[in-house]
Amino acid sequence: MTPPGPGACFHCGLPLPAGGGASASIGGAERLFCCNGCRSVCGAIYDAGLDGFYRRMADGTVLSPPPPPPRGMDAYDVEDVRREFVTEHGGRTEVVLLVEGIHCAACAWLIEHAVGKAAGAAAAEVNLAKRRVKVGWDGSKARLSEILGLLARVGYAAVPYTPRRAEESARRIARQSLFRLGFAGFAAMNMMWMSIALWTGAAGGEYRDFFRRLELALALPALLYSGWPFLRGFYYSARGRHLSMDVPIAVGALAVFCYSAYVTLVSPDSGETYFDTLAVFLFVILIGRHLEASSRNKAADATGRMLELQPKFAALLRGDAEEKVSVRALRVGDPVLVRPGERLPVDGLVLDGSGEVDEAIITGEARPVPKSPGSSVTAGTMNMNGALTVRMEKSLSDTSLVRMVRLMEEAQATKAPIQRIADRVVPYFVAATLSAAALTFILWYGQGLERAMLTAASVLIITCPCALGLATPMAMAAAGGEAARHGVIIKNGRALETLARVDHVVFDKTGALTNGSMAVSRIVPADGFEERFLLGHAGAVERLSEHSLARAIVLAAENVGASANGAVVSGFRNFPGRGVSGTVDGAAVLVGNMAFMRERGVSAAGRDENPSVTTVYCAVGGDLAGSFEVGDALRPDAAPTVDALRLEGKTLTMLTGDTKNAAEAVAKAAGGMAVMAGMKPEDKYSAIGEFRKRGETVAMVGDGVNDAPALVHADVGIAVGQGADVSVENADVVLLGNRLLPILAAIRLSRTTITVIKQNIRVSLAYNALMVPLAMAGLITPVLAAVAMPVSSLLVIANASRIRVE
Amino acid sequence: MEVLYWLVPSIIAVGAAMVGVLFWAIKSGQYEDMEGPSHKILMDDDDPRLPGGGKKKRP
Repeated sequence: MTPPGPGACFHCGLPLPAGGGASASIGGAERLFCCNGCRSVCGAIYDAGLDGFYRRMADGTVLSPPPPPPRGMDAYDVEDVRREFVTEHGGRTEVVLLVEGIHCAACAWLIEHAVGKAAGAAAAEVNLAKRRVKVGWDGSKARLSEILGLLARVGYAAVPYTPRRAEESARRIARQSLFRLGFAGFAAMNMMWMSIALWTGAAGGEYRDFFRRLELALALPALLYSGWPFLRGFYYSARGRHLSMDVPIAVGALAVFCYSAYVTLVSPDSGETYFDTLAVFLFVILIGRHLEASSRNKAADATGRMLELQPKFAALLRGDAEEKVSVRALRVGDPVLVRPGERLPVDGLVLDGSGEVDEAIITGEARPVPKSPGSSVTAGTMNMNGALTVRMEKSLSDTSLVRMVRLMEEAQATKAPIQRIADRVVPYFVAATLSAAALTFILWYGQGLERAMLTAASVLIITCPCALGLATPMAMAAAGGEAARHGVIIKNGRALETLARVDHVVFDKTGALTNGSMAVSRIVPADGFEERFLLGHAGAVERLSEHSLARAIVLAAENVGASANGAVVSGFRNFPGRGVSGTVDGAAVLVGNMAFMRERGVSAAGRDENPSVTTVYCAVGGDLAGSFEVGDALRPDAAPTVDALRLEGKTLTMLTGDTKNAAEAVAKAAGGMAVMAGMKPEDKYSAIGEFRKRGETVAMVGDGVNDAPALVHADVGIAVGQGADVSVENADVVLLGNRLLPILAAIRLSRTTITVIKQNIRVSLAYNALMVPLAMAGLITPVLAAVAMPVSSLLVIANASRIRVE
Repeated sequence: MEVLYWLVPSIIAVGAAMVGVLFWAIKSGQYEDMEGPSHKILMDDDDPRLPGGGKKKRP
């Protein structure tokens, strides 16, 4: 890749904080980085001689910043934890890892080569689509934790993985559909050239019956094997007395096959065969179904990955001793110790210790929540500072994360199929076709059984559902390209048709309306203190803290270059939930909340606290030097988007896990909307359910793991592109480039598309209205059919390509 | 033209063998990742045409 522009981080490509972030001399040149994490990862990559990674990255790739190095990975070396994940094959140990942060092929390259440097002849195989890495190595030479550590150093958080049973069966079904697709393709291609032979002369010659019989021999397995899903759908549909899209497909395929088989075997001179049409028809439809299924599987995979956020082992306390055990060995009531930087392994109550926990996956809030004895904590959340002793309160199959996954699987399974426009026409279409065929048979019966049967079959063949079947997919394809041009990906036709009808737009707060990360929004120096002085001192001390608020202050200090004075901090101490202290240039510096200041006898009264931001105070030498307001800023296009949506008459609601006050402030800044605060993932899910029960068509805009169930449950789920994997995969619409305005373009596009789909259906019906009477009159010749059928399809395609949005 | 009577079926047999190969490929998991391998070939270490000249370690 070309080196990133002057304003971008050398490693991840994100814009540098104003004034430059971290810098280091790596690979013989001075490089600029957005943060220390990127700097150390880049250093590790160069040290390992893997700098080729940067050349292999596509231009303009933006990586997410490296995750914090995971801790306590040595627990994976404990035998009974290890045994759950690894398999041994003749001296080689194999493990499947789930890796967060794989973006592109360059990442795959980097991982494969980084692992290759491990002891024990390790070899890695990256599955880019599933973000999985299979690693095999000599188990006696290197431990599993070393492999994980190696990946962590080059910027990827990896956890061992055991596939779930549901996933296994989904994979088998996906393979089945590939087999059927492959066979249909083989049959279709061979019949194509046989048709050419037939039409270019063999039709009248001595080889006619030979070719027709060969076609029959290929068409029979194609119909029974490749066409099996449709035949089965037809059967169930007939038994349940409802008309699905499988019915016209199966009826058409059976009619074409029986007609052609009859012509081939019984009366070769009475008509033509259409085996080739049958095979191509099955092939094309199977392709569509396969693509649809693989996008569904991807969503299910992402849902499954969520469970991997739950740690696999825990430090069980037995008296005073602690023992690393697999989480499956834990029982309700067991006390476990959670160190800073570790994820909580269980849902439970804090028995001892205090600190802050990052609950972003449950609440969506980046701001850590203080915990003390008696607070409840949730598996999968991250303990930021302070060791906690937690008593397990809920069994592993009942943690919040598991419930969330179950909720999503339920929503995915029960999502009522919204009647697509084409689906509404199909039952009438099928009924009309079948009665027309029956009528034809009766009318022609006087001319003999054979004549009546062949004419009735030709009615079924000529009533091509092609245009009807193509109406939506073609509009969808055209709209998809147009949407991408506006910065949205619309993943399915259902969403495209539903968007126009949306009358209630629900926003998540953090990460959807706001940027989702903490930044200093205001600096208030106390009288007699300079801003630069304040930032320099606070930044120097906060640099040693891992708190998300601290990072925001450090960034702000670096922005004005206040950290470049090389201040030496001594006597650094961290007071979880309150603040930090240290000595800079001989002066005692305190940085923390109001309570921390009061505790240390610093008067910090008379300053109003704004509910949507956190105020951090800084005292130097016992006097208040000033304060910072740290908050999550509104996205620049949030207010215009909200205004435009309101102008279109949509109801707007915000669902957030944050407090009422903070939510109200953001809602006001965005232009005002109803607020429902303090919502857990299942609350968001049921709120969406309530809206839908009232008869509203709901679109949900969200970004986090905690929004995922609501995104699935809404009529249209809209995910912010840089949100969590699980929300992006489960959403119907993805906003690229972290902008909200494209929602409006998507809605307008949806309206245009619906108009075009309706026109296409009319074209298709007009074609049938013209051709069916001809077929009933027995006037259809193969040449007429060969011209008319593609023309109707082409009309539909041409019309779809008109879809545009200004 | 009698040759067609055995030539055409044998062509189809070859095609059927190809389908067998495809089934084997699906079974061995080659269609599980549709993104990675297409890039992998372009990332060969020892390709001297790469800007920077392949796998030269920089100090």
